[in-house]
Amino acid sequence: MSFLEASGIEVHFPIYKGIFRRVTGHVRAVDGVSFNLKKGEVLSVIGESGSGKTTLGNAVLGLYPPTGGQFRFHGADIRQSWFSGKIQAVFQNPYSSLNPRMNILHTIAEPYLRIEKNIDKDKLRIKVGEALETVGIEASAMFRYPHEFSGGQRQRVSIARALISQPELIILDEPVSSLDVSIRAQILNLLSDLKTKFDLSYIFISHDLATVRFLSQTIMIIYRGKVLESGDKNSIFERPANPYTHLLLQSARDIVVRNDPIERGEAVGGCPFYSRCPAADGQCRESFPQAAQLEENHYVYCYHPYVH
Amino acid sequence: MKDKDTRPKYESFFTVFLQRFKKNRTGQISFYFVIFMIVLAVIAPIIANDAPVMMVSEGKVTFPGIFNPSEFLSTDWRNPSFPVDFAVWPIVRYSPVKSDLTKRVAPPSWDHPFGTDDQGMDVFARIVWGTRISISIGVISAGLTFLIGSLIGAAAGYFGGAADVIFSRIIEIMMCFPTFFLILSVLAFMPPSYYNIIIVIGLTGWTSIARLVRGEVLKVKTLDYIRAAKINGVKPFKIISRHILPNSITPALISATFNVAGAILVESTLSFLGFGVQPPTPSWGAIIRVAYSYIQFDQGWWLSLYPALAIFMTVTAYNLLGQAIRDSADPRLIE
Repeated sequence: MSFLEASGIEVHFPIYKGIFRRVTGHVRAVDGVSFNLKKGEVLSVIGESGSGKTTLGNAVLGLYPPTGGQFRFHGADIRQSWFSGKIQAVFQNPYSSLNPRMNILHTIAEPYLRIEKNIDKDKLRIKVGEALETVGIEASAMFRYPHEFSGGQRQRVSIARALISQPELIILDEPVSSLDVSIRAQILNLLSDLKTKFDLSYIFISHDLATVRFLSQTIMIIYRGKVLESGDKNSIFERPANPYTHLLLQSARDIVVRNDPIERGEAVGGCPFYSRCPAADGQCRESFPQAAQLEENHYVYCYHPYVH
Repeated sequence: MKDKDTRPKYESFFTVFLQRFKKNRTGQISFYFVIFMIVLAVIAPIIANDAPVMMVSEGKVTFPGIFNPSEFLSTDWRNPSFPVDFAVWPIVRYSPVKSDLTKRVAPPSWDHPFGTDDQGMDVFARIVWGTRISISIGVISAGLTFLIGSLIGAAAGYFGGAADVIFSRIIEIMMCFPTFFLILSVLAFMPPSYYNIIIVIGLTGWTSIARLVRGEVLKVKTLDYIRAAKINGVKPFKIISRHILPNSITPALISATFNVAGAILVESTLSFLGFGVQPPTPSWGAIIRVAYSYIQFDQGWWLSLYPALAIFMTVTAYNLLGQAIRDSADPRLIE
């Protein structure tokens, strides 16, 4: 029985037109994504802005329920686990993820009060204090307000808020991308320590390959809602097969991207990367390829993968 | 040991607001004037009344000026029919509602500082007591506007979809009516009492606040702490009351200050037209209404000047206060 299994997840948003708000089409934010996450593992979802990686995270959390496909959490439908505190999230922007009018005690206690309805004040304070200590903030800071903390400290508070309801899965939605490089490493180390300490699983959403490399075992490259390549971290980083992955890794290494974007028309029903892909041909325009297994844990969705 | 003094001092929104408000001279003056008017409304029985504030009569201590007991209703306090051993009298010894037909339309004198009106009632007493009506109608109806506006605005903004469409159309339809004529036509079908005026002003003026709150809520509801609360299964009502409203209500609060000034003005206008609180209840607009019938004979200038000054100064004070609060709360104006 797997921990979290996603099969053919689709999140489509209707596009309304006219005064009667007729549905004229759909934005396919996430379009048929499948993956399998084992307990204690980290799955990284990589993609550029607008690729649907955050929407995928929101679909797991239940904020945008999938319009197609199914998540199975511990073998059961994930709907039972939504909004229960078993699945938590840490968001990108530390300045908007804490309510400026609520002190840290109330912010962190909020998820916990949903589980333990009648807890007395002292026990709650002890609990919140413990949560703060685990993320490396002194417990006496619980009566302060978010504006008194720096970006890195706020992100620690966000992590404490996610931890207090004893979750099994945490969605990390670019948790370090708006932090200083020096703070980034501290937060990543903290996340890594907490994972082993509390036996957590992460879905790590990022566009930053360096942070992904540090934390995760499995990687999923996503582009316009479709998975282009997935598999083991080392395998993908060393032998990227999809032209898009290749481009992504290249842009991370060099400042100059050598491949000029190729202008082609949109491919309806074909590969989403068709219009920019250097290796595209008529086949790519017509249909999206099936998964091709390259190694034991390395799948690519491409008609013309690079062969190493 | 940690040195607490070296820690940088962080400032919350409210402390920054207070600091900047204290520097605003106009804001300070209008704030104290508003406080002064409220105090005046509260202590009106001590300033101007015919009954004593406190009285010792036949060994009993009573407060007839403050509690208005019914047994003194027809008492002539200048020649009481019972012995008064000791009494604390108000500054001006005239009631705002008792007429004296021998002294009609008397010009200002030491006895009647602001003169008398067509019923021989003291204008000064009526203005002081009129503060109660004006301030309370202004504040309560602006409070009602604020309550209705922020609830509807928050519901429209947070739930979106059909609720937003319905509420937005209602707001737009309400805004199409000229508010004052709407109030006039509603009052044509209702007895023009104190409570009806408050309700009518409250029910017609909420649209601007609702739009303001809706816009703010739309901005706040996409923030990450709302997402975090949703993930943890916090109920929509609690999300609105704990997370959204505290972060989106400030502009509406500022707007409510201006609404107080507007409501005072509307009440005066209604009383002037005869649709306001009914005589002999003292109201600023009602005094000017009396002046209207004398001014064409070049008489009774004191009947229009003093209540008009009272209206002008109160409305100006509330408007300046609102402006000062808005300037102090606006983060873009940090110098």
